[in-house]
Amino acid sequence: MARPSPRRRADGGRARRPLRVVSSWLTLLGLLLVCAGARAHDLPVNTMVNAFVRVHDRQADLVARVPMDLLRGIPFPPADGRYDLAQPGPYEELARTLLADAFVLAEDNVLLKPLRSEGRIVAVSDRSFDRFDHALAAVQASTGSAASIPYDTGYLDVHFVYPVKSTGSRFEIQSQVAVDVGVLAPLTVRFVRGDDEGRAMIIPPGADPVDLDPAWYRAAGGFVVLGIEHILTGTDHLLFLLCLVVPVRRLRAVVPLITAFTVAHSVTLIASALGFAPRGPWFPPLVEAAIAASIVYTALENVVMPSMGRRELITCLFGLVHGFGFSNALGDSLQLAGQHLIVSLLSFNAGIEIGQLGVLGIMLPLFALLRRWMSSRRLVVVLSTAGGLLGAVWLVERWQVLWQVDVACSGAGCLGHAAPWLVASVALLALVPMLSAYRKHRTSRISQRTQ
Amino acid sequence: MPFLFRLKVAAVFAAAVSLPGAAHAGVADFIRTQTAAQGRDLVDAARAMPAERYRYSPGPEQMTFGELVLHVADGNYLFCSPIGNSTAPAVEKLPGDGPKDALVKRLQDSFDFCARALATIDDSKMAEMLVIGNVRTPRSMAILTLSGTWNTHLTMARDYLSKNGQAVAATSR
Repeated sequence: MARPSPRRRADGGRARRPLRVVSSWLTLLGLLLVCAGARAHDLPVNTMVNAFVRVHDRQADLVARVPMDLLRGIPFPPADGRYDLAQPGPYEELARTLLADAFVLAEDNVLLKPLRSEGRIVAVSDRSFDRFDHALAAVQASTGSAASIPYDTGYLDVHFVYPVKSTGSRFEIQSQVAVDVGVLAPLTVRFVRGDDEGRAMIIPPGADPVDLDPAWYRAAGGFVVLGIEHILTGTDHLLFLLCLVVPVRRLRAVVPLITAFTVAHSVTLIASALGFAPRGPWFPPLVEAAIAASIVYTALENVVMPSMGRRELITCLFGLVHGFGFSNALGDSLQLAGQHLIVSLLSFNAGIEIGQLGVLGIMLPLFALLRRWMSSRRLVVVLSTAGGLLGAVWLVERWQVLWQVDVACSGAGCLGHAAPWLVASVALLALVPMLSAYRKHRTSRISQRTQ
Repeated sequence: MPFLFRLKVAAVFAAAVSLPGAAHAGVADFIRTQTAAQGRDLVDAARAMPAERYRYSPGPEQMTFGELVLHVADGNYLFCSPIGNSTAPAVEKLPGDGPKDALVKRLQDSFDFCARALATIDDSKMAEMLVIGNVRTPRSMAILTLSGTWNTHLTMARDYLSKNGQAVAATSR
């Protein structure tokens, strides 16, 4: 006579407690999503260097706007507390000479040297850098009314012209402007192609050269590697994976768990990268705290109630959270995707899966080996307790970080961004008891049939 | 006439070499001039502050005047050594609250070192990458940073002097 598996029997009686925990946690998440708001970033924008690069007709044009704050080393002549623009000549030329080394432009790995350059000092109120053609026209114009620019304010607009071999070459750019101040003086550059102004890339000074328009396979390759790196260095994701699979003895039972995790984190990773996630400064620390909570919960479940009944579902829920974590890690790197946003996203996801499978390829045989030395239950309890404790420490640390973030709503925007996720969370919350009831119903029917 | 002709030829030649080929014309001379001018101004500022006010700081988070002087001297050794491709001399460790005379001497010595180190640089290797502290930067950018820090620190020193009722010399800018 067939009997319901112990796994299913265990499901029925003790299902409510963990459900409550998950429900409470998701409710808290929902509340935070509603109450949290965006906070203005603290980056001093006056030290950001803006640039456009256009390649056409065997020449590359680099038009850049450098804050005068970053050129304090050049003694531009003053006149009554303002720039004396009747005679900036040698100093403005000196600035261009120095900046020619700071903007490193390369064609097929060969450094380009500017053929000629021009520049002018402009007031902070100048708005000509909204488009490439406006910026180029402005920098080519005479200095004009610049005599009224207060000293140590404003920008130096420069235009460098480089000879190139072919418009089809691979172009890379690197910024060496104000390397000493690091991320406070990033280069924001757009690669202009025809009428398309391109996507802005923010490059920290001193960072490796960045491909201005990568071929799809280069972008894909880079993002696969990034995905692998992220999962292999993401201790929290690995610990969650460990807690997830440690009670599972058969490979056949691992597959649905990993599939659920993969599908779920892919959904939020892609959605988030496409701009559907909340954007407040509270969101990344919230996700990080939730990831730590996912470890604690899974470890606790392993120790207290070693049931696999709803594990696919719980894995799916936590997978959504981890997907946000992956997207946070992807963060600024996505700007380097050029025109290949979707390819790069999928490649990053593929990299995560490759890394994940590699880790499982080591983890599962290792567990099998350890089970020869200790009982399966002891292995689960020992590893889950260790993992859960580490997760708890992270949870406390990350909660403190989250607590320090200003979560006050600053407008309807935060609610607008949070609303879809709140609805999704509520829908999932509703789904948990439904699926649980369905599973219970099905178990009892099987039980009745077998009796 | 022959003299004027030669002058014209020389002018045309000078203009030609100052075009694209000599991309860094004037950078080496610029930093040498700055070293002399800013060094003089900063050492003058250090001398102008009374010894008993060397521990003055505008706020708890800011350097004292003595620390500022030492900071400039340390920065000079840090930057001028790689820029000028010369080994910085081993100097004794000096506290920021050390005696005024020792701090002023340290500042003067550091500018003297910079003057020696930068005396031989030319404009041909300005794009060469240097390692300063833990930062990699072209020589030209290191020069810009060094000159910029002198400007910033001179402004600070003059602000400290002014807040202590000392006469502030005219800016070299």
